[in-house]
Amino acid sequence: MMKVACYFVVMLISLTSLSQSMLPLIQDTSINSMGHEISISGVGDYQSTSVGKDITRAFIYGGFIDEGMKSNSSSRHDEINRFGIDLNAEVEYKNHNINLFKDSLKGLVIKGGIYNFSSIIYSKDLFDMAFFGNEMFTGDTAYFTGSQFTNLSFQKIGVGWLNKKSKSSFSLNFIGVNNYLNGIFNEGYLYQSQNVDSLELLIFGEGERSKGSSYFKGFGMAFDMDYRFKMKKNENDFIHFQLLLRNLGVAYLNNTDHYLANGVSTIQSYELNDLINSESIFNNPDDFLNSISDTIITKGSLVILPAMFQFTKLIDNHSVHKFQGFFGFRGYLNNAYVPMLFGGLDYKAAKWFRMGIQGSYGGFSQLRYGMYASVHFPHFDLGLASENLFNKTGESIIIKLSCAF
Amino acid sequence: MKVVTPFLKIFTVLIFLGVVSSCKKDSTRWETEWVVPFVTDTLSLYNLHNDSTLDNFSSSNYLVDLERELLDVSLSDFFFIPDTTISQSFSPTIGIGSVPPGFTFYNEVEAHELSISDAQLKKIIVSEGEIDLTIYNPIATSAYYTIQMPGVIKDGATLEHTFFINAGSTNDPAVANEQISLDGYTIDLRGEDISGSVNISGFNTLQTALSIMSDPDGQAVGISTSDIFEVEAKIQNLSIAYAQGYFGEQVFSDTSFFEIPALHQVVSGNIDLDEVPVNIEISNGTKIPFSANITVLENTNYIPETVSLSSSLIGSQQLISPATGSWSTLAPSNQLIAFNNANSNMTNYLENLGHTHKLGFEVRMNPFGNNTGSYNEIFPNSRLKLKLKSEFPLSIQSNGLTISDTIAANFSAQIVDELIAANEVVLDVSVVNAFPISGSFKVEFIDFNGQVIHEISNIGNIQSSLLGVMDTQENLMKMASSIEVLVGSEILSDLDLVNRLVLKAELNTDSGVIQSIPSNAYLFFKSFLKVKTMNSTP
Repeated sequence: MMKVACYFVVMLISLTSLSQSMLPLIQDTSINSMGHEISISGVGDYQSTSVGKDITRAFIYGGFIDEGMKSNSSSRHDEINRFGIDLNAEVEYKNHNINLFKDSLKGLVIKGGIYNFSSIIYSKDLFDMAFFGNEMFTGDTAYFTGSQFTNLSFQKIGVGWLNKKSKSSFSLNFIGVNNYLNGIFNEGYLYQSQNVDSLELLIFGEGERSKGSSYFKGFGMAFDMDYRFKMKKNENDFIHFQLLLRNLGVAYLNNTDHYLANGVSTIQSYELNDLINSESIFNNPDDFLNSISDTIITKGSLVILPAMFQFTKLIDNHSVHKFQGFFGFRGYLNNAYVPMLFGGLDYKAAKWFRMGIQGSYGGFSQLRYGMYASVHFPHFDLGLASENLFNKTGESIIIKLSCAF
Repeated sequence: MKVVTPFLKIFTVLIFLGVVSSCKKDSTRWETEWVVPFVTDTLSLYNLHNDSTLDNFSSSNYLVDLERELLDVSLSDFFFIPDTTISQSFSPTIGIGSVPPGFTFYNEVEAHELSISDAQLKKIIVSEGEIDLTIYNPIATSAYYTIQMPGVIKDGATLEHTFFINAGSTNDPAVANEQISLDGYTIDLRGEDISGSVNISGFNTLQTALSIMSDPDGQAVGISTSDIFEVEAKIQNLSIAYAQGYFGEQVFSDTSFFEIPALHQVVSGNIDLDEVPVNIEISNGTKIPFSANITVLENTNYIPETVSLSSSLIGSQQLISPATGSWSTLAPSNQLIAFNNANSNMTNYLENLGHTHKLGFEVRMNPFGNNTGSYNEIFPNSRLKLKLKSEFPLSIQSNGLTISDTIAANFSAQIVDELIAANEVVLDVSVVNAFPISGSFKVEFIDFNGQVIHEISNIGNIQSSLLGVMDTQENLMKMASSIEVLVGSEILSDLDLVNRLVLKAELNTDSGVIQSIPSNAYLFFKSFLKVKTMNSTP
């Protein structure tokens, strides 16, 4: 029971140290005359169907989670709930002077990034158990079946080419995995009798965790693709689209601890003689845990990276319209993430300033609203956005800085 | 191209400040409440039902029907016949020139006195035992040795065995060994008088008759005065089924201590009881006169204060007649030494609540010596027993009687660490009390130096069953109570210093009433722990 709660809490803690992104992209098909371009972007985004951001903030910034915070979050929970965190930072260098493959339209791309992606699907009972304890389940059963969690942090460095005009690009990346954690409760419950004279914990589950103290626990390969294409809207205008694939690949971890838990453990009321003869869980707590039949196997694991897929209708930088709409959908290779639909309106307030609003539905959460603003100078772009401004169960911040020289 | 550096510098500073500020964070904390089953048990007097202590059938209230055996001796305890070796030998006073084949040249009876201290046995029946015979033949021809034991009879036949032994020599006699079972033999130990008749006044005497005949198929040989013909008989492992005679003036005495462990836990208070009679019953299954004397009976309580039972019966000889009949008709003689309030201070004695009782007694056999004109007799089923017996309604008035029990707090280090981290622990106890006694409780936490470092005394009361309702199915009054024992953070933080827990219960009945205890009364309780923890992550 405590162990299950600890797994849940550890998972939440690990989530707070992780990361994803996106200002609406602006399509500019003119060739960059400055030759070199460096962009730095960072994304911090956590979303949940149910856990209040006051609780998540407490895990990020510290503080006391009071009964009101726990109760508000608990009341938002359905039987199945999701929580996810996407943190990442990327640096990308584009060289427009080089003509790769002797093609004047192919420039060089070099990029690097650090990513932390976490997700959890869990039952309401698991949340209540972790934050309230088991007293509220007296005479009841707390179910954990189907709960699962994953956390992967990794770094990448890659090289590729870009189309100087369309801005499409392709890069092949070398992946170094820093940490990996994954688990699932195929079946699990805690039953407590009304009189609290017996308590039964059943766990059929498995988990994996990267092992070792080395900085990189495993290595892999992935590719990024940014494919941009346009469709004719009328004689003068085109609609530009982007199909983005990021971190599509796998990594192999040499040593992972593979946990199997298959067992039922029961605590019954003791008799006085059991206490006097030191034959209770209070004397031998390991007996209780051993009865869960924990098995640990160390072996290698092939891990599929949480690749991102996104299709977007882009903003045309050369459009004469002050207002432009954008829309698209986003997905991750992760079963806690529901494909997210998004759309928004971009307003070009000045030649050097744009702003917009957006809405989305899906992901680790449900309905979210966001805003963005960006400034543009000849050598310098800065964008600041949030995909989640008013939601009670998540927050988002996106920063992107670009320099051209 | 020129890089626009001012913005990069600003952002570098901002990122640095952001990283530093994000590292400086409080721990995340939240409270949880956990419940764990603890103890469910029933305290009752059931384990005293079947050991001759409590009678729960004869009445709706308990009757004490106490019976404790103080002495139980059987025939084998009265005397012991040690392993004994007797020998009969023959050596001619003059040499015989030639003994022809088949010639009996020795035939004599000898009497042997058995060494049995303090007893003069005339007749015994052997249940188990044997004789190891060793025979020596010193002549140069084989011979037949016939050994007979007059008075040793089984099924009407006297014990007799003939052995063939090979030829030997004076210096190196031939040796033969044989074992004869004595199981079931009756042995007349009176011997014979000069006339050859049974010696009526004889005792502890065993006779052997030895005859030696040269081998009829052998050759004639001479016998010299140096030749020694000998038979050794080792009577061993003798177990007696019946004995007759005079068994001496043996004394069985002892000063024994017996404990009432529950009363070790009394630390204060007192009780009032109705009159409690105590009898010492002596059963004599032997045909031997005895006298019995209770020399001392006293008990010591928790203070410690010792109270002796004072009575004219203490220190005075009580004569116990022999049993009557014999064998299957044997009827033990019974003698009762009864202590009550009329002849002793018995109630005061018991109200002292002594945990250690000291009882001295002396039982003397044949107190008038060997001049009663009759034999002592002991049969296989003869036993001499002393029993302590008492029978009275279990009724008690408890005036703040406080009992104390100590439990070693040898919890695992992991559990102690988790409890120390807890904000609060509450032991939730639900009780059903069928005893007409109320109880209040106290818990003391004792450290490794034996010092009380914490105490919980504000624990609720377990109500007497007299305040409850009648359960017609169990025919018991029952009262349900709930108590919560709050173990605060100041106690929990010292839990690693605690070596043992002392539980104290103060028991009270209604004032001025000696309360009968209902048959099958019990105290049922179930409990669980509620642990409030402050969880923290860095």
